[in-house]
Amino acid sequence: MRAVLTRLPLVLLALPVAAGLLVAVIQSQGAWGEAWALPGLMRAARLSLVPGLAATLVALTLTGLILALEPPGTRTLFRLLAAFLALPHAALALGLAFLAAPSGPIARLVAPLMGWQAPPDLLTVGDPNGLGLTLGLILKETPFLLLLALAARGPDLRRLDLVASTFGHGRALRFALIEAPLLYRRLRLPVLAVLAYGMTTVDMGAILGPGLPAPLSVEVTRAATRADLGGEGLAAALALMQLALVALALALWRGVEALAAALARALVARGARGVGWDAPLRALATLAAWSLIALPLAALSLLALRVVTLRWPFPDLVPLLSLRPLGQTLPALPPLAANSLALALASTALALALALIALQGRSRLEALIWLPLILPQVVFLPGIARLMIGVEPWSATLAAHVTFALPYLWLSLAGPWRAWNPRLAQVAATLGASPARILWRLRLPMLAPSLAAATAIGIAVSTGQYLATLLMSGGRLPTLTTEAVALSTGPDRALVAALALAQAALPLVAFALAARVKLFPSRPQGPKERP
Amino acid sequence: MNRRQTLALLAALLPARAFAQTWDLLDRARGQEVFFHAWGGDPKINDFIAWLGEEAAALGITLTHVKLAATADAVARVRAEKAAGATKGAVDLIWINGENFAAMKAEGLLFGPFAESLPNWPLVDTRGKPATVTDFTLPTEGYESPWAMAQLVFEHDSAQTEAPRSILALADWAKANPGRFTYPQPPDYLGLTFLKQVLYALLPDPAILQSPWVEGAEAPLWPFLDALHPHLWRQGRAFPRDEPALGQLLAEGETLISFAFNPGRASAEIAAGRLAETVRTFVLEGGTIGNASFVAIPFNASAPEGAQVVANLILSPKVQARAQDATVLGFQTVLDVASLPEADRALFEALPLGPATLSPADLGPVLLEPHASWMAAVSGAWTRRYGAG
Repeated sequence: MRAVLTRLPLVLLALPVAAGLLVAVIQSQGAWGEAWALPGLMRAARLSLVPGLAATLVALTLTGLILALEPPGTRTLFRLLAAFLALPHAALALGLAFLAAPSGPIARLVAPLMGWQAPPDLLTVGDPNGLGLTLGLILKETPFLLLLALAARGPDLRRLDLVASTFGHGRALRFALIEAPLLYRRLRLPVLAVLAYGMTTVDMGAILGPGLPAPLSVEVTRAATRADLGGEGLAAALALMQLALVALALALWRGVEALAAALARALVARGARGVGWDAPLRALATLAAWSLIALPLAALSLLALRVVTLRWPFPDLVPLLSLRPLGQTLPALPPLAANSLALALASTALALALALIALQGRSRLEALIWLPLILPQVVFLPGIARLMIGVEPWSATLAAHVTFALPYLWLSLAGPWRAWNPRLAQVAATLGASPARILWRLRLPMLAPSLAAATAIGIAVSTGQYLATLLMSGGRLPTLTTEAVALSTGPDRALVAALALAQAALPLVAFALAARVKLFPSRPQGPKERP
Repeated sequence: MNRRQTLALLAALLPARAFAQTWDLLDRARGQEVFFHAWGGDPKINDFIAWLGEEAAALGITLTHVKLAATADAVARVRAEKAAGATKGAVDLIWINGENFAAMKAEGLLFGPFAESLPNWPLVDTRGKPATVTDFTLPTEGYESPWAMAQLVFEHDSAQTEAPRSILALADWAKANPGRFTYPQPPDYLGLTFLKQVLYALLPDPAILQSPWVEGAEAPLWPFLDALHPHLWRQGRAFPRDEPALGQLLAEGETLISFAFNPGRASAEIAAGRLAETVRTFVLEGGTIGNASFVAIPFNASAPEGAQVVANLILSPKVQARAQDATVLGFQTVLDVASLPEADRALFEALPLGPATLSPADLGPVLLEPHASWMAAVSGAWTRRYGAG
């Protein structure tokens, strides 16, 4: 009975996605020839695989470096984590694109030196190798991993580190050999989610990625939204290719893990202490920390500037400003925000409950949790929408939001949940506590920081849903995001920027509140506390 | 003026109560909520639809704008509803044209015919503006009702450059001004419209554009583009995504010549303060491609009566004149202004043209949209040639 109950959320999650997937498989019939013949298919696949893998590897390395060495800027970065996490991917991408554009502020600063009277004809945004896309992903995913690492880094790991510090290793190596393997075990699933996200992202890929060809995920969306409506089959076939590509990447990642483990063993065998490594690594970590602060902040400020910018003739350093766009935007926001908030709260609460139920057991079915993360939404959502027709719009939309929030909640909770020391439960049980009491009074409170972080992530995920909201509600539930995406196809950059910032507001509050749940170490341990 | 026209005019002029006696649909539509699925990218258009909602409210109809990023999103919904056998659909009215319309009509997803029985239909200039009844060579047959005319116009910053008046002159201009011209990446419709305009200039017999595409018919296009691309923005290694992205390049001074499908776009953007005051529009010798935007009603609309009343409202001189106002939308009307009664004609004559808009006479001849098969063929071939980088 219990086994059935704990598997139920997984099945509930998988059913609609599987049904949507089935629709995709059926639709793809007859379109495979066209899909294989897609111009630049191999490059599109590479533009999905390489930035995804590279960004995950770099983000994880930077997370480790910053946690190990706590370089200058760490505190500031931790304080800003909530804001960076709340910033939608598309908003960060827009800000970065504007920063780097030949008509952007950097080009304006150097224009007098270069004698530019007009924006230089340089391909800075959308480079053919996807470097800009990789950078954008790193900037967005490192804060995500840092947040989860801070939540998962319990006192047990800190004690280990203290003991290890007596062996005389350098801090970086000590972290890599002692703490990182244990921490990584708790973070593994979110790391894989980051990898899958980086490969399937549409909004970042469309803004920062190249267009000839675009990353595979963007090509899927292009096919699905083709004006002649004939691209459904092609989109389905490409999406199934994308699915295989993600599977390949996950397999490659296992190789990366094995390589890292082998490297660690080799270092131990050689008796490396890495004492001299700390100084150069610290310089690198410092650079990383400040970049992680400065670039998103610059992107965010530019976005804010855009809200009040009418026009910015080149090479002026100051744009023509006006509050008029802001005045037009603000009155429209409250009803949109109300819908976003209601959906976010309800779907996160439901998803949290389902995730906790699912975590009461272990099962092979857990692999199903990956489906909504690695499948491009545009492929299986129309299928689900078809199944949900007739269901009242609010419930249908809520169900879809739960479908997308649940995997993220489960993945961010599973590690810390399973790392919880079961002996505490045994002790409590010998003292006469019932299983329910142990859950409610012991385990959940001890995991409060992770629960809070997961809740905030759920709210961010729900707030960011565009296609799910539009298709499920039949347009009956306009949210900040549906409005923002609709406007992003239009000419008014000020409005686009305003909506992108408004979209960030709800998750920002959620992350800020989550941060108060003893999320971050009360005081990052400075060098003084360590030998 | 025949009796039907008179009735229609009376209907448009009289207060709602009296109108109801001439068109019983009004009574059945009263109290309905009409969900209008329309592209929501442009705040000017969104504001206009909100204003239209106030007009509809006077007729007892609640008009709700569902803002789409792409019309295909709404078509996908209707299609899914048909597959599921849903009778009370989510979409009542949809802003549509071209391939989306062709697909919906072919799949039986549309309600109608209804357009030609609308009381305001006789005001439509079907003879002078054949695009109001022919959507990309496909006869509309009353399954969609026109709401605005669009025509390709080019835009240039008159402070910095002259206007080349033909496609070949434009190519020479691009050579002389490297990096200052580009077009949206196909399959974007505006990018394809540019390519179709090029075809009009290059084909020995442009009349073949009105028949279905045959293998190789577009051949003259490729040597022309091969020669043009190295002189485009980013040397043709990247293209803007869509019309707004193209307009943004002009606004930021990255390009000096641009184009749009709304002859009033430049004026409206100048009025909004987003475009340099020196931008002007021009058309090409021999004419530019034009088409119409329509509204259609899905087969399973929950409020088909209300949707028809709104479609009719859109054809009223008051609404059409407001849409043509350069400070509002700058869309060209679908009505035959010359044959409107004095008071209605005055509405149009009083409209300011805006600093950058050409007068209807200066807009020149309208070239018909090629058969829809050209779009798919050119788009596919373009992607095969240039899409792999």
